[in-house]
Amino acid sequence: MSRAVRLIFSELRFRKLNAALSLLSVTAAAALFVAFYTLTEAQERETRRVTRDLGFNLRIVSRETEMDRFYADGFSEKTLSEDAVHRLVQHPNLSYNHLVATLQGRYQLQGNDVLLTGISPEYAPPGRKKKPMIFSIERGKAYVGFHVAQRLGLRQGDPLELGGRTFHVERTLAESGTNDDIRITANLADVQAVLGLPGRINEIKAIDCLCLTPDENPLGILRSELEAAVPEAKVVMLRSMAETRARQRQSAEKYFALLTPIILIGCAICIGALAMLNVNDRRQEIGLFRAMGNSSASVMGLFLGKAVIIGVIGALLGYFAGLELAVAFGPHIFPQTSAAIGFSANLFGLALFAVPAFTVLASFLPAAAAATQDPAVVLREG
Amino acid sequence: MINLEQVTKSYAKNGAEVYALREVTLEILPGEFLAVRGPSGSGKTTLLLTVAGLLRPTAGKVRHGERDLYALSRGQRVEWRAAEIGFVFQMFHLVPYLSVLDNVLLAGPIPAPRETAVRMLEELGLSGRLKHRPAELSAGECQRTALARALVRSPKLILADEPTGNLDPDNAETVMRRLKQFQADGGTVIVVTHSDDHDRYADRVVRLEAGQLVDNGDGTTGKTGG
Repeated sequence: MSRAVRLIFSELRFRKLNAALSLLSVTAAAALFVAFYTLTEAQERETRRVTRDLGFNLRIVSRETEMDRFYADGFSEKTLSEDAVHRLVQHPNLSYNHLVATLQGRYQLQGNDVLLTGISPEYAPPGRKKKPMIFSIERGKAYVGFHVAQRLGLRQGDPLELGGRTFHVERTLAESGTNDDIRITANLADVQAVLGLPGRINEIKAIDCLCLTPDENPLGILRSELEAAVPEAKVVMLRSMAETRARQRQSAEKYFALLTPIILIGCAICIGALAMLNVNDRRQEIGLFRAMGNSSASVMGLFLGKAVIIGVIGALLGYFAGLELAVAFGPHIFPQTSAAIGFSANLFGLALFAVPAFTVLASFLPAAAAATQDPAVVLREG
Repeated sequence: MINLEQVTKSYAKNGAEVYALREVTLEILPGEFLAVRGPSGSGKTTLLLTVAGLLRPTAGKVRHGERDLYALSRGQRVEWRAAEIGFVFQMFHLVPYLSVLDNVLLAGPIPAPRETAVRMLEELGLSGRLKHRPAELSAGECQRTALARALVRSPKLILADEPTGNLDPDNAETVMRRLKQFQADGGTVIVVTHSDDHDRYADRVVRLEAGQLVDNGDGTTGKTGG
């Protein structure tokens, strides 16, 4: 062990109270940071999950869609090439995710009006694969809405004839109180064949990250992205959901951005003050080191080395204390995504690096004061 | 040879200039044992710190051999001090959290060999105290530890500021005898003291009063032009 390290450890053992209070400050800073960071991430996940559960918030339809009819019918009469979803998903920096191509049309089934909907598998931009929001439907299978199933007496496992093809009823759905009750949902390719529109879709549903508030013109950004990738399409956003989500997200971010510096500055002041007290306690010793031919840099090294040691120990203790706090309180606040609250190697690595760096930064001025202390003044004091 | 040429050290205090040293001219020969006497506040410690390269004079020069001490950079002075000077203080200035042995090994940027430090401590009657902390030692033992620290790197010059001021007569004699032995081995010693108890160890006794050298030990004053 080098002399400097031995000196640091000996001094830590000797001035136990100062060492303990410094370690407590660093641990508190680390724990609060880790707890806030972990809970903020949990909050973000929870909001994403809630938003996702609310359903798609973007509807991309043909540019030629007449919007009055679109809103009246619930779908567009105009179609797009199915290729549009692939072009869109490959567009760089796309802010959408969970893209699903659909083809929807009215269909007469044994004298009953039904909505026939084909859905593609869910697509994600490269590198942003997420857990799918919707189930995918195998070829030849159909999900039958409550009202249709009632009228036609269909049950799970029954055959169902559509456009000369036989489907297998995979499930009959519970009553929803929406037009889903008269919907038959099947694989996109099957529905394209039934409706005689191979390779065509009339809508791409997607979820936007909803990071921007209305004043930041999220729709304008989405439209410019869409214009570049699929110029023949236009986008409709479910605004109220989007705005609420964006505001919620931003208020959480602001909260974190405000609270973190307050905590960190408070802890930095404590650490700095304790380091200054320590410098004051050690004036004679510092004067002696300097008089005996130790450079200012080596004196500064003693104080900053001490800060690194306290920082590393504080980071370790603080990380696990912060994680414990997050694990104790997080699941009550964020029940849907509570399983994801836990050890994060990235955050652990960040804490191990950032906390000692923060401690060194907070101790820098006291260390500089020690290094520039005039040994003559101190030694003269006797 | 150490030469102080017209060395003045002054401070501004409450708008007035206060002189800690005033135009001190002094020559200290290699291997000399010099005692600097004077009442409290006469500038003895200032003189010592100035000779050590720790306190830049307001005017005048301090030379160690051909070297103008304050023409060196701060870093060069640090290196020079580490290589050539050992300090002994009245208040010992031992590091409270280190053992006796570790205090001795603290001298200089590169510690002296451990065996040398142990031998030095044994020589000063501290062989049973190597692992003790300063708080567990008597004043005499503390000063002997400080003396071992000053001697362990074989400096050329020992600067001692009231080294016996807190000691009983027996311990004071031990310290002074060891300093005398250091001189006998070829070292130079400057001891600052306000009493004449140990004048017999010194080759020469100089007197400071109010920052002025009133007697440089050879019947002349070190002050010129004033």
